[in-house]
Amino acid sequence: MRRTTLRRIGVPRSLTRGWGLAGALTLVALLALAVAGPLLAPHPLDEPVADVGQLPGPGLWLGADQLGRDVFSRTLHGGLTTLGVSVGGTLALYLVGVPLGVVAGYRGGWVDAVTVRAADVLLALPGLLLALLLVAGLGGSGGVLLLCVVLTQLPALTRLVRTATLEAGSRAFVEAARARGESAVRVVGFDVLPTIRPVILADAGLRLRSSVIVVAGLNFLGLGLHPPTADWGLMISENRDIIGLNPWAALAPGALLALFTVAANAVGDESAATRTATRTAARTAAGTAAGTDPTDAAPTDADPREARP
Amino acid sequence: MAGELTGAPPAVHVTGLTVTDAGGRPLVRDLHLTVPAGGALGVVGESGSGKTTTALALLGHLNAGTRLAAGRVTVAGRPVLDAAAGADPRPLRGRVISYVPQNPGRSLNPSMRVRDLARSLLDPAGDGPATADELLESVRLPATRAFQRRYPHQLSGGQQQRLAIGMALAARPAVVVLDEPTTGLDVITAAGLLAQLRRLREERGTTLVHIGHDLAVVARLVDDVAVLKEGRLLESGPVAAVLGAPARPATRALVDAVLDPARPAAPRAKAAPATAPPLLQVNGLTAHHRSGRRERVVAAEGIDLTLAAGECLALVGESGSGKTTVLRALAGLHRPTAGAVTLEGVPLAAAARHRDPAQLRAIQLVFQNPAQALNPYQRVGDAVARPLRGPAGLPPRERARRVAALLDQVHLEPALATRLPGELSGGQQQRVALARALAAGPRVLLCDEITSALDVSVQAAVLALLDELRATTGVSLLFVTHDLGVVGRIADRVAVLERGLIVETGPTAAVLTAPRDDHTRRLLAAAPGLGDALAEAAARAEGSRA
Repeated sequence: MRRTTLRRIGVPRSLTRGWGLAGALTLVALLALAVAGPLLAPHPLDEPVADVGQLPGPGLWLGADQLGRDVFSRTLHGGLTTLGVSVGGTLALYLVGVPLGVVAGYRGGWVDAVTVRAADVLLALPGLLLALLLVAGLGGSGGVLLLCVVLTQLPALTRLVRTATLEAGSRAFVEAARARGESAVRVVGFDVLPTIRPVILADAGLRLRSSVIVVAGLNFLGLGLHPPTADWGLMISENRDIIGLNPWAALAPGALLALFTVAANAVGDESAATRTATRTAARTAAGTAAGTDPTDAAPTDADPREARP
Repeated sequence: MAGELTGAPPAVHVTGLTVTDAGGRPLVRDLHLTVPAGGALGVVGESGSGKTTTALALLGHLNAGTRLAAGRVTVAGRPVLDAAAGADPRPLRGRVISYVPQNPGRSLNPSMRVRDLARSLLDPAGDGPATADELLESVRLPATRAFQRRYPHQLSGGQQQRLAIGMALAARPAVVVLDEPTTGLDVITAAGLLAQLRRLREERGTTLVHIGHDLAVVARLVDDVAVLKEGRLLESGPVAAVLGAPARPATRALVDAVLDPARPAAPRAKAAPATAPPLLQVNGLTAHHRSGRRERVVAAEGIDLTLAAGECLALVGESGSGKTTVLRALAGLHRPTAGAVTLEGVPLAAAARHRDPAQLRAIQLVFQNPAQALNPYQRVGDAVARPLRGPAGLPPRERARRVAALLDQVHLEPALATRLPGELSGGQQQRVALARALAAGPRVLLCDEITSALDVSVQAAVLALLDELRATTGVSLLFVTHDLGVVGRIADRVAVLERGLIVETGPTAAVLTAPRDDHTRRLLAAAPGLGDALAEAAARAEGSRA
């Protein structure tokens, strides 16, 4: 029952079991930690409460950092920036990339040509170089980091959505709608978006992971947020000098970042894996399952052409 | 034949095969079949009778969600499925037994070129074709470089089917299982394919198992036939005996559903008065296809057609004759290079988006494959309501009422409105597609082989529905098909297309019984009715006994 409810609100089946479920729960838990963490922090953020690099002890669960500040409190605070910018950036990415890809793929012609060439130009620049250019030009702040997340991944996403749209647009039901003279908006809303939705969902987990890496990476390199902000990427960078004194100061934020990327990967992989699996099944059963939806096929054996009178 | 030699195991031996679905419902129950080496068995039955499950079991394959409950299948004496002992069929596939699936377009890897597909199954050690050229020639496909560079989607259905068969036969398997190999092929291509399979059997002693629902086709290839119903073997025996004098009502029903082009239905009384201006007039329609970068292939040339109100005109031709292109041009989906189309005397724009809403509503297209013509994510009710939306559409409540009425008109229960297309059978899906077309209130329905993907009994029901709709709504039909049996059943007039040219037009009965053009004669000869096919089978049996 519960699973069908989740399915009904659009949660892919792959995320209701196994690694997909574990990954999804971890993502949710980490986001909850990032949001609620600051409220639970026992110590102030930027005041020394112990000796530099003091090891964990009672009241100081993860010890102290390179300035004697409480690592536990800073870890609780530090998720919001990284995860917030990554998740927000990923959302912004989809808000821009999906419409762009759909318009290019559905409209075709010069719109498509311009979009694809622009995407190719952006793709030609390595993501990190592009981010460096942006930071150098606009300075390091949350907003600029968000822009980095969007721009480094936009070309790939747009091309993916465009290709999926091209494929969806050649389906007979889209042709039927065109022959009826339906407006492009209606055809996209009713036919194209639902058809490409599985592709987008499968891709989203991987994009989120990349976003985290972009944000944490820039912060670690000191190109993003500045001290004394508590941020996981920044914390790893700041505390690498005292890793011999209190390894937890860098390990704790690092472990949480790693957990987040692994969880995001698991979600992405599971969505993608389930999709491929059903596709393969659909192909082997091609002779029989002529009418089932390849992305979400319930296994049927009866010849679907006229199973019921 | 070889199988009659003492000691040689039968090519296919099925004992007590029972396959159930996940819920334990039997799909095939206690099936016993034997095919001697070099024999040919037809497995017939309506859809859902367990034909395909049986076919796959011969390969040792069970579809996801199905389970082998009991029984044993051996091919050439080697076990492929065994409920008691287990068996590994994989080494046998391709070499000893191979499979030609129903829809070759979907079974060929779309990202591989013809040459690579042909090479992928070559067996240099065996006595089969040694090169891609030989393989292609063995199934009469052009072995030219240009052809070998094509991808599966650039081939016609018949070419795809022949390539799939060539691949299935590449390693010279002892047994070939054919799952409705001619479904979707035009009659001439199908006849060529059947002749080729017969020759293969004669030359190499290949054992054939032909799964199908079109008895007239099955009878032309096999010696024996097994009739399945609800997973049970109803009767089996020599094809002429079983189908010539059906003992069981279920077999009788299958035989009766076969349409015979030699006996067209009586001409309909209500023919449009000759003086009335034609509803749809097509003058000199010429259309091209782009092939490759520069080449252009003529798909239709100088097509002249008229369609009167309430009339059914059949457009007949083999695949690649341009019939679908003509329909697409009329629907505004394919821009013709020349020619004019008028609807009630008013010229129609070439592209659908330049036509006015009334013109768009007046011409509706129904596709060959209903599963592809319906959005799999859209509920039936929403799909049917699509033409009723928009600025000139109906308010939601009236829309729901209209949808219920439309579903009723195509004999579907209104409760189906909340289902997704994937939950419906093929026949139901095609009815939904028809309801959606009718929702627009069309004057002309363009039907693109709309029954060719359906089972014969379902086809009969859909044709009856079309007759009824013509009577109740006065809609005209332009019916594209390659099945002359269907033409005889439904059309008032026939236009025969050959390579983009109309070679013959006339009243159905006249064209089918006294064709004037050679091409029409060839089409008719390629698709004998069941009676002729059975006589042929009896003669074959006589010949092999002598």
